[in-house]
Amino acid sequence: MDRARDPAALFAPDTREVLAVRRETADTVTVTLAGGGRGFVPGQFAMVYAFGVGESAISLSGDPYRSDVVEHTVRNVGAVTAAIDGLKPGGFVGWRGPFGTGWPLARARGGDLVIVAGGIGLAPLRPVILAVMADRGAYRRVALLVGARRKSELLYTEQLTEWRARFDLEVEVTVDAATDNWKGSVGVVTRLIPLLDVEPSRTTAMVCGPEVMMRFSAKELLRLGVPSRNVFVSMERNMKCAVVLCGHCQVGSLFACHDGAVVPYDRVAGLMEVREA
Amino acid sequence: MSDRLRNHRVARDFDSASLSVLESCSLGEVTWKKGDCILATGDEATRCYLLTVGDVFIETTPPGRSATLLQTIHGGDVLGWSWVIPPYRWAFDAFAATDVTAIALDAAKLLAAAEADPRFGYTLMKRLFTLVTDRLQATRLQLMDLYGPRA
Repeated sequence: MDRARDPAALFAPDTREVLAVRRETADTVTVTLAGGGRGFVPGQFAMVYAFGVGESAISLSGDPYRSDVVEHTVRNVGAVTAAIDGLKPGGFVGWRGPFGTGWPLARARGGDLVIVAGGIGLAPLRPVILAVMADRGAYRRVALLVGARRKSELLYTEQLTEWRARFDLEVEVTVDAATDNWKGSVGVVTRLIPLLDVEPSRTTAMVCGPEVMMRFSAKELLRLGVPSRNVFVSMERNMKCAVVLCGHCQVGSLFACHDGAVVPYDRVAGLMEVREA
Repeated sequence: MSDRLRNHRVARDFDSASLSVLESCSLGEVTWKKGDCILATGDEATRCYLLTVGDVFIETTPPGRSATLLQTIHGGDVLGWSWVIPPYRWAFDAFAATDVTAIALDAAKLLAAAEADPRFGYTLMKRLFTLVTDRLQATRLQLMDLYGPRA
């Protein structure tokens, strides 16, 4: 099937076998699907189809260098994601992609890199971290700031522990509520930004999480002196076609499926201030 | 010490005259070991601490309940502003989450200097107001349950 010549083929999903399902939190799983990500770049997403239920845009959250499998971390928030949450190894889903823009890793090379993740927002940034770790010498200081509601809702806890043990990666984790005998940092993730030890003019920042959190993170980054052109956020909207046809994901003049999800903050700063029904 | 005070996030935009006044209020560097109690609710608020290294837990213990960890503040933050307004008593407990180093400022001297030199006082209050606003906005975000499901 030639996807470039046959637009209809853009809507035809591959059938992918579920190889593994790892429970991250009470409502979030990471599923490993057979078949590669067709050279996806960190930040891109795929349309995952739960047969008989529907399709949902889900970020690729696995290692971008692996060509045999893809991973998606999915939070159970609706019918499709509930069906994905219930998948078992040996099951099947439909998959089409990858779609959208990626995080600007090439632009970040040679400078400092700040990654700010809130809640499920860590999932689209995990491929960035894996790519950076595989090519660590290409970046100066790398800081990962992670926020979550509480300890039990932190994603990739084993991997976070591994990353925190590295001397070439600064990892700070904070939660909003100190439940579950949490003895780490308490407070919103934006509070960690002013404490960063980076060279602002040479810093690229990648921010993903709830829009309010991204807005306040971006403001803190700008206040720190990071140029707005170097701040990138992920604008996520309800996507249906993923190929700029339906308009469901339109925000102002921007189509999140095509112009995003990763966009420069200065392109959407105004849009993020607009109250939406 | 002087350099540490001048380079602290709080003092960074002070002019030299205001910095000199701030320095005259300094009681020097203080340290705590992890787990030490730094401030206790109800105690007289006689000092302002500019944290330089380490993390501090802000806690409260409601009657009949165990201690609740509310917020962590870090090197670069200010610990304690109950000395600014009556009744000049700490409103929360603070414990060293790690080994902590801070610059202690004499609260009575700060207030007296602010009264005597309104230019210094205004600079100090603007800086404190910025910090309080930041902390308030962060607390509002913390209360928003940002990461919960969309309504």
